[in-house]
Amino acid sequence: MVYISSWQEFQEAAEALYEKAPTRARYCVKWRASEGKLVLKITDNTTCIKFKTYSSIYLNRFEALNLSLMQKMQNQRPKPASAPDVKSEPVDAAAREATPTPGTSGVAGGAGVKKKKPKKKK
Amino acid sequence: MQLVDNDTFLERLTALFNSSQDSGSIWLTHKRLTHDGDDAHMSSADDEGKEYPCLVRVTDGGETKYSTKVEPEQLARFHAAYGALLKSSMTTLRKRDKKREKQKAEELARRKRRLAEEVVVDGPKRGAGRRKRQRQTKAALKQLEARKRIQEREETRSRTKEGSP
Repeated sequence: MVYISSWQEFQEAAEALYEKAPTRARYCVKWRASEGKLVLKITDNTTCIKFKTYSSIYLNRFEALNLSLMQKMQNQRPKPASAPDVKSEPVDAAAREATPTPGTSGVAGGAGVKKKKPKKKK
Repeated sequence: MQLVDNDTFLERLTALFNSSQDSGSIWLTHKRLTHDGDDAHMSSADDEGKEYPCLVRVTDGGETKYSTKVEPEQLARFHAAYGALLKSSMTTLRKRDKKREKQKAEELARRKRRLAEEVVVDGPKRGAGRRKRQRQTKAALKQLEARKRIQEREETRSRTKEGSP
């Protein structure tokens, strides 16, 4: 059991682990409301990686990871068409309004974060 | 364990989020559903391109357990509602604190700068300022070790990155 502190690394490791053992790997989320603690875990019974946070800045990335892992579980090819689908769904207006672009920014979350970093360095 | 449809599942999940607000935790498990009443096929080469349903379970660690089956064509719809529900339920997470983030970034930058600067050992070897020189030597050694540690860490990191893909 290893806690990974950086989200970027966790996401890469989680996706790699799932690809490695798609029939065995499972993905668990533990939510403890009283502490405001979120623990993500992915394991294939031999390797286990975890990520924990108390901060809400990971929520969008967490949502994007959920989607990408579920797509992997269903053996779906990540189609570009699925992103607008998510966005155009008429869901809880209140929840959507608070975060107007989670669908777009979230889906491209991993890539977006990656792209931003080098820009900052320059 | 009770298998319910997607909408019922989301309703039950909302109820669980509400009931665990003050104490307790809830667990969500996601995995590929590889069987349909029959035995599971753990590895068959011919279903490379096959799509599977995804099983989502929720429990509060006690008697309350629900699961739902998400079919590939329902994923977009399910995830939109599911993601929104998770985000609106996880309200006790710490809010983004820009001040603290800035403070941390500054601290990191300062540490980096100090690591890049060489520690000069220029105190007198003997006499009144001897202690000063001793302190400087100690600081120089410490810096050297810190650099070595960082370099090692970077090396292992790049090695694991090369190995994973």
